[in-house]
Amino acid sequence: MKILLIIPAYNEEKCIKSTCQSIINYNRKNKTNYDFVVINDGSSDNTSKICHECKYNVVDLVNNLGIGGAVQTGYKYAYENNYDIAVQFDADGQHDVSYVKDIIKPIYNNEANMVIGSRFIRKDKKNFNSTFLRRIGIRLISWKIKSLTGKKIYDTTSGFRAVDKNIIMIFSKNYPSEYPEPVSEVNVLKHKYKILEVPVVMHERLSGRSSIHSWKNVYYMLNVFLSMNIESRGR
Amino acid sequence: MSINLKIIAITFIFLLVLLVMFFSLRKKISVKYTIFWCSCLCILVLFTLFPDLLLWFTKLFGIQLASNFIFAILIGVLFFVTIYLTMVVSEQNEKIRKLIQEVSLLKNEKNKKN
Repeated sequence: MKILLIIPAYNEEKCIKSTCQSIINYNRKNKTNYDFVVINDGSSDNTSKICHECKYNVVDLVNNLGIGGAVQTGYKYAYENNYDIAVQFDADGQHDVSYVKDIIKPIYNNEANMVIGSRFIRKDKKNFNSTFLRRIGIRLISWKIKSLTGKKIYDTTSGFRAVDKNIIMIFSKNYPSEYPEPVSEVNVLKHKYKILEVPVVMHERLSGRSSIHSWKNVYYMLNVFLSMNIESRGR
Repeated sequence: MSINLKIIAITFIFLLVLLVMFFSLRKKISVKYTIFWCSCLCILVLFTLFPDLLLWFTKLFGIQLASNFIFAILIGVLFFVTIYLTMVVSEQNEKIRKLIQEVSLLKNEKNKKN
């Protein structure tokens, strides 16, 4: 099975090297062969330069597209290069490569088409569970997805996820541009594919900040709710 | 409507027509939008030349003042235009996104071969 890690990166010069190196080291140690592709979303810092110097596989977007457009480029890459599994992996050190085997396992065993690495399934003190407000937001989205599709997803905004070939094809054609995670889940469920959550531990980001912050929260919820409604109804 | 007011109004509309033509000839506005704006301006000219026509329409819609009728119509048209343009912008956004993705993927492929 060909496995691809998609690493969207926007101004991640501080941590892109350690993230990519962690994958390479992991491959060497565990005799796995996870390929990875860095999608440099028009960074204005040295992200691209570092990737080229280290000879990482990198797609330099000729213009900034935002997170949705960048991730979708990764799915297009996976589709064109015939990958069986694509895993979304953050550049900022939040995700741990040793959990990749856990989130691709249900796809291996044909138990699910999409697997989400969830922070909320197993209570763990070490786990970085993000802020109180953010957890409320995630709850609300979770409830909304349940009412739209009948499926309960706990960590709706987790960016640590693996998908199989069918979903790679769907995402390469249609992927939300602004706040993609919850909306893409609705899209998958609408197509009657199966989503599974597995517990993972996430770290606090090494640098940079979440794309969702402060005054944008209300707008974020409004946008996501409307997008999910449209996605569940639209073609 | 005094003749002075008519002249001022017609001059103003004429300037707008010139503006549209100017951009159109430089291919800054595509033909379909030129047609739209010119027909809008033609209607305005018609109303300026024959104010009775305007008054007739005003009565027809049961509006008391002709100016209110004009405002209502103009605001309606401008709303429509803006919403239409938002749609055009969103469509173009999608197209540009696709272009950026495809070009970037091609560049990546080319780099790998070298």
